[in-house]
Amino acid sequence: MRRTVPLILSFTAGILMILDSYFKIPIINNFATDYLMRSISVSVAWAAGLGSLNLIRLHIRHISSKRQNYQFSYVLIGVWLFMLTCGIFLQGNTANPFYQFFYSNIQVNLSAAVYSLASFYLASSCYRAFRARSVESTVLLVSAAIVMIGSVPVGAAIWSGFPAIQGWLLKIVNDSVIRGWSIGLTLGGLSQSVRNLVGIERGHLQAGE
Amino acid sequence: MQGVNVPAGITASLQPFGIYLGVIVTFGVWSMLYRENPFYRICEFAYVGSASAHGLVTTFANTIKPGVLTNIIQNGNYWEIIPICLGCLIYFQPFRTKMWIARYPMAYWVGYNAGYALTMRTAMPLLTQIRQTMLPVIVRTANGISLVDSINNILFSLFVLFTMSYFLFSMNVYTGRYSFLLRVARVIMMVAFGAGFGTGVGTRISLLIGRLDFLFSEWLTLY
Repeated sequence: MRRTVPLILSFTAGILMILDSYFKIPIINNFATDYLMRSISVSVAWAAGLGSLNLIRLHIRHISSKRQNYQFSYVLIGVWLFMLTCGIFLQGNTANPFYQFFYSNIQVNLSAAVYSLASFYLASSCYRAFRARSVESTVLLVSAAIVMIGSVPVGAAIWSGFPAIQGWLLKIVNDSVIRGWSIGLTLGGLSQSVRNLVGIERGHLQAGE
Repeated sequence: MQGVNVPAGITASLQPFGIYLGVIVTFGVWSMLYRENPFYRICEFAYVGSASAHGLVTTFANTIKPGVLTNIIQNGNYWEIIPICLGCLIYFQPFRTKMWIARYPMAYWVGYNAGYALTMRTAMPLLTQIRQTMLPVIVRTANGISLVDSINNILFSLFVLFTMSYFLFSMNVYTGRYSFLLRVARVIMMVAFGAGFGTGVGTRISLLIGRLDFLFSEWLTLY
């Protein structure tokens, strides 16, 4: 009951998708299109709150046990409650001007500021990455330097060949390596899917062992 | 389900403070550059709370609300209550003794996605990628043979093969006569990592420029 039923559920859902894709069986095709796909989007949407609720549960625990810096958990819970209440109860939800005011002035600015913070750390990361200690690190250094110089106007002013080499590095070397990874990842994903479907891989069923 | 409406006057009166909020949170996050401080921590926790709530609100507004209002109440698709109940079973996850119930929706999603991954929708992009890697060795143009394009095509296909061979675990390529493959593949991947790093630096710098632009143009109105 606790393990067999989920395995049957998993196998049935998967096999219906495969049958729908490779065979023209009207009953299965209609069922997969009208019910199966829709049921996934509906059930996933209703489960979306789990992560958020876990976060809040964790911070309530921080507050109740008065862990170090627990005061900041009040900020998190307060902002979360405020945004959630505004987003759910206001007319138009996320499109409401009141919600939009807080979203665009707090969330968007915070997001941009957090990601821009990384550029300040680039100097130290460059120093660590760009030390020519072996052939591989030298190649990395040269490649990164050419791409950085080639992508700014001053690069072309120094030498007109920089943008061309930058383009070649990105189009031929970078794209081919990403293609290799991508093919490998897809093949790995296919084999993993077969393992999941036939029940060899059961890592996702470990909850409440 | 019309929802509460905030008087337009309140929202309008808040607008002038919007830029100051943006400035405060920007400096709050950047204060981390000096050292860890309460101002930064407040901004950090506010960001996590706000992002989490926004994700939830977006799902509610775009999927849950129209799903219930349109599909179930208006169109009478009452069968949708079954997947809703199935999805809600995941909320048993935090309860240790009832955690096994959360396996049902998880198994359903994993099974569906495993099946989805084995359909033509996934197989086709893979075949397309393989086909796009098989480039012509000799590129003919109106003026004859393009030597540069031909070499580039050969190199592209070779680089793909080298990269894939690096992750080939079915045979031993780490020692013996094929070990050179590994070394060449590692050098090629390092070139790609470098190119990726260079592009990443550009992206981060452009984000910083965006923030500085906000401070100088919208807040200080220098231009």
